[in-house]
Amino acid sequence: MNRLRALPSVVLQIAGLWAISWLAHQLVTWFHLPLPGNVMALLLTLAALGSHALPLKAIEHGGSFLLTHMSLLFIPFAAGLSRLFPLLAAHGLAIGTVLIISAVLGYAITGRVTQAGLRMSTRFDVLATARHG
Amino acid sequence: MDDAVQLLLATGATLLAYLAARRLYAIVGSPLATPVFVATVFVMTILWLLHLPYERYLTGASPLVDLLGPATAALAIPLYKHRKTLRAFLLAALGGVICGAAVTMLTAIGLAVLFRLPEVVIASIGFKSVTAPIAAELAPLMRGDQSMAVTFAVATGIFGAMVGPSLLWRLGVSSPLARGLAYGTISTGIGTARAICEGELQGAASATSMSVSGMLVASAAPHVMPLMLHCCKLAFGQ
Repeated sequence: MNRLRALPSVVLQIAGLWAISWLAHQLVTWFHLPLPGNVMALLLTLAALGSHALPLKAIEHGGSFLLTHMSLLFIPFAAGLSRLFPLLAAHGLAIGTVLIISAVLGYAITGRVTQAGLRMSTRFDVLATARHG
Repeated sequence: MDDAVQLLLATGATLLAYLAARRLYAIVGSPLATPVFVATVFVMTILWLLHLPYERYLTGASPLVDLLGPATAALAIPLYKHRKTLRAFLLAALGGVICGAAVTMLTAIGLAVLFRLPEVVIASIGFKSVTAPIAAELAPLMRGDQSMAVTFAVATGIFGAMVGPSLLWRLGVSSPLARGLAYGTISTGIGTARAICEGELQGAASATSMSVSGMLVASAAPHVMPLMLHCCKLAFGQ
């Protein structure tokens, strides 16, 4: 029941996000920006939220709905994999190895660097307060 | 008339496959049953059984593809919501995300060159840790393939959701913020779904880092990727 009542606002908010995204794609074309249109749409939305030109409330329901179901939206692209079966069959093992090694390294670096940074910043904070004290 | 039928059938079938896959995931609960993976297999099977060309299906499913723009715009929401936490740990978080995104992209491209994979695979595999809507737009710009980039991103997501948690513990990454950032930077959307199970901060950090790394890679790739490719080829004497 609650979900049904929220439906009109969700649809309207998605239309609003769609309008922002359309504008972003136009900006990219007009000014020949070196960014994908979708990334421009993200930046534009962020700028609008940050400058309080767009209240979070105005897009929150629709936006969360899209984020929850985002994987539905890329099924059409993923299904195109059927065209690439011969290529993948020939190189499947190598591709799998690349994906696994690069992911493991990525996890290690992101996690460890962030943690090291956190440790450093707390140490600096401690030093700063010690000096003030 | 024909177009309308095509639109209805392709979009409807995708929607049904997605709903069924979500139902299945709720029962099974394993990352291998990730809805996008199962639904994609459903759709591919239907196309194969009915001998439908993929291009006709893609035209029919265009309403879904058109929603990727607004969905990417919606990625600004987690970023905006958690701006305060993020600002407090800005340097550590940004450092982790930048290093992680750069290393994972460079090793993917480097190994792909080393294994002498076809050019189109190399150009697509560099974006395997970029959230699918952005990867789908970036890959063709770098002469990669949309479907391949999205598939690699989904595969990396599933892998991360399966082994990420224990991998991070084994690597000694225990800070919730660092764990969340790692999920989002490497395994994007599917990683974020896993991060949310672990905790609210992990989920927020993951959602934010996938927006941030997506933006960073998108703005850097056109300049950095040709250079990376060139260096890798030189290094491996190709």
